[in-house]
Amino acid sequence: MKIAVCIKQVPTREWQPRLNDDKTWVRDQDVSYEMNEPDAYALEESLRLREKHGGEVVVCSAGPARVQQVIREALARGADRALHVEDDALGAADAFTAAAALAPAMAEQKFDLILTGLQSDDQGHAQFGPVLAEKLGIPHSTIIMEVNVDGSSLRVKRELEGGWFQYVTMPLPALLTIQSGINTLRYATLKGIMAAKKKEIAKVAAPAGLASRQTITALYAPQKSKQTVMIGGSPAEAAKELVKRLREEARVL
Amino acid sequence: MILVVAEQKAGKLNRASWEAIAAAQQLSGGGMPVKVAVAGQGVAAVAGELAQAAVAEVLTVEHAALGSYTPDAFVQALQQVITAQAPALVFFPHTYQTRDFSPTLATRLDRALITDVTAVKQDGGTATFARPMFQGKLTADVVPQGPGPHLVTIQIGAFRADQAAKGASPAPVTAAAAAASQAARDWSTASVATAARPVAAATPRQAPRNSAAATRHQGTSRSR
Repeated sequence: MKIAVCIKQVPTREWQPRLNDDKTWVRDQDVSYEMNEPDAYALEESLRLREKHGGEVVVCSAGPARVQQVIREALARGADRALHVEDDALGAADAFTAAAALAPAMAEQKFDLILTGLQSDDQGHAQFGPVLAEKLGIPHSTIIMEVNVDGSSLRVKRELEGGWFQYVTMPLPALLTIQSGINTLRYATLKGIMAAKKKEIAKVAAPAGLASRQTITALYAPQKSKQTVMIGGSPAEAAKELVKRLREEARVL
Repeated sequence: MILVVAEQKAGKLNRASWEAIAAAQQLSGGGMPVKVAVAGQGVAAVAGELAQAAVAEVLTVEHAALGSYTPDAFVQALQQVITAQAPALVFFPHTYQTRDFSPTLATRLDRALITDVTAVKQDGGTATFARPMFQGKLTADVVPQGPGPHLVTIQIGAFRADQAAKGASPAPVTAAAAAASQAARDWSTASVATAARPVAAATPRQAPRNSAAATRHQGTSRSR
């Protein structure tokens, strides 16, 4: 089975953002990067599927030269080769632009299955997977917790709200977005890190005419909404007021 | 016009739909009509419930292929409704179901989609949408680009359902026809749900299976 896994390089979780001068993006020079965590689970799932069904795992990523850090890491963990759509302008690309950048090169490869994380830790659009599937003309399913491949079809467990799940079957080729925490991540061994140095990273130029679908006009720290409220009155009145607020404002009842 | 796409499952309205209506009413400020669309099979009762809102019209999209959710059927049906209605904006509650089909819908319409929106602003004729970035460390004000309609999903809990304005009399409910012939060809191509079951009460969904699971994404709201 020919499996693709789309990974994104994002700022580390410990990183504290600093804004650029016009306050529409972060200061890139201050950022340290890592693999988007949901994508790491997609990578692990793709490696497990390859171990079960054979074939290869191809890492696909769009971004400036710096994203080779996470591509090398994925290769060190066991992916076979990589496809890097390289363009400096893709560093802050929205999900639609990233999918449009990767789609032509990925279409040529005719993958059986494409996995990616359910959303990115930086922009968090949660759009990339379904947009890429639509551009490639293949079915998709999102927030997947289990993947079972049976010949030319897939049976997946999809997470729904409120502790419900749904089982979905679909034909291959298909694209799935993977929920974080569904497997235990492996880490790169020294042998893997050495082997990764010899693995192929095919660099492809971004297609012409990519246009962003959204413009950030301001970036700022969120306003804190937490505040303490003292409820007065008799115990009976206070209890009534507390229940009202728990129901209508905190919405925990 | 702002079109709000309400969500229902088995004839039961998802209350996050009221939050999306409240967001649309706030952005409109009475200056732009708000309509509500609800898709499914057997949605008359849900449409009647939604008609209590102070909106211009409630559109029902009924089709057998919409009975149980598949992204293909919902994208096809809503594409037809959006094309026919030509709204300036389309609002959705940011549910798992919306997350599953709205990026496909936006791509097929070739229009912008802004997700997980926590606040809406009208800024000199330009609608601006606030959304969390970098895992909530920052908030971004975002303006959708390109021709409309622009699609927007509203974070669950960001607006209050009980602040959706109710009308003095029920809004008219109109059936929006879904092209069934096209549906018969395309709506059955992909995913079909085979089963749904609740998790056993003894194993809460949030229970971490390993240390990394503690950081699992909740998919929708973080600010409830």
